Amino acid sequence: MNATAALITAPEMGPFRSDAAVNEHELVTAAQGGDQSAFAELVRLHQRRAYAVARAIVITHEDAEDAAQEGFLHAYRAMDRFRIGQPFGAWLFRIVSNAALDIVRRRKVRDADQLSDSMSLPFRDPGETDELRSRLGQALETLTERQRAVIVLHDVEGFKHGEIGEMLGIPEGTARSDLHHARATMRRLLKDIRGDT
Amino acid sequence: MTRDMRRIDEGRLPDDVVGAMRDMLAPPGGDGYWDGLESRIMAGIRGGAVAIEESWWSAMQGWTRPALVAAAALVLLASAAMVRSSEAERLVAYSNISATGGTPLEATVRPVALGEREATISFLITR
Repeated sequence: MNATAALITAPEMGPFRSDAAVNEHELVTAAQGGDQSAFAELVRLHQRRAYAVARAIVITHEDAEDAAQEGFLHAYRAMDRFRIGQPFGAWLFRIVSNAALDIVRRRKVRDADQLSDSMSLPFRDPGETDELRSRLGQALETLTERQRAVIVLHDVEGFKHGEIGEMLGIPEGTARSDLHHARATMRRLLKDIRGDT
Repeated sequence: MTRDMRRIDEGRLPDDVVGAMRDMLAPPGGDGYWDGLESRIMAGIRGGAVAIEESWWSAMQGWTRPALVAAAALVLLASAAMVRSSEAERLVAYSNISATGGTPLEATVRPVALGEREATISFLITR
């Protein structure tokens, strides 16, 4: 039974269960041997989180998708450099976050003269009627790129400070500090619509 | 410890705010989106793999003609160099003979046939 078949016939599993880790190990080994169906299975396992990581860093959905795709492509090409025993997800998310950071850098250079316009676009939905979501979008816009990435990765996606630091290429302490400031800003900006924030 | 934990908990944004953020950052299209994304990723990987193979092969094909031309040019250059070199050797030998005007005919002729070293030895012996 090949690695892909082993995973498909396995019972429903979460990403952190040990049997899943064993299967992931088999998939990684098979993918390193050039088995594209094994890599497709790894894509299926990790694409949601990979997208979420990218979405925390870039501004638009389109850029997040591009970053996720680029990240998986880079990971596929670098599979021979992945050391078995490392957590595959952490390795992959670092690659995806690098792809997302590259996109942010490219956008900065390209959109330098349209910065004020583009900054107002990302979280604004003309059809949005819910005040919390609308104000939340505005509040997120006021954060720095790094603060927004940190708060989304930590509070929404559940990554730890150290993992976030590795993904964004910053010290763990900086990630903590960014999270603290991001939360304080969000709380202040949402205070008038939420008494409990 | 308890106070620290409480402070961390107090720092967290309320669940509905986090939920709204999660909704806001979710991709459009619901669960069907992930099948599409997986297909696009794998298409990119297959395309990339084909492109890498093709680029390797086409690069080799592209180099075939210049490599043949370069090889032919090298052969020509090497032949020309060999011709020139033997020409130069002949000239050196001739000038050696000319330079040894006072020596006997046998001693001046034989070095050309025997080479520099033998000619020198032979010249010294005849003295």
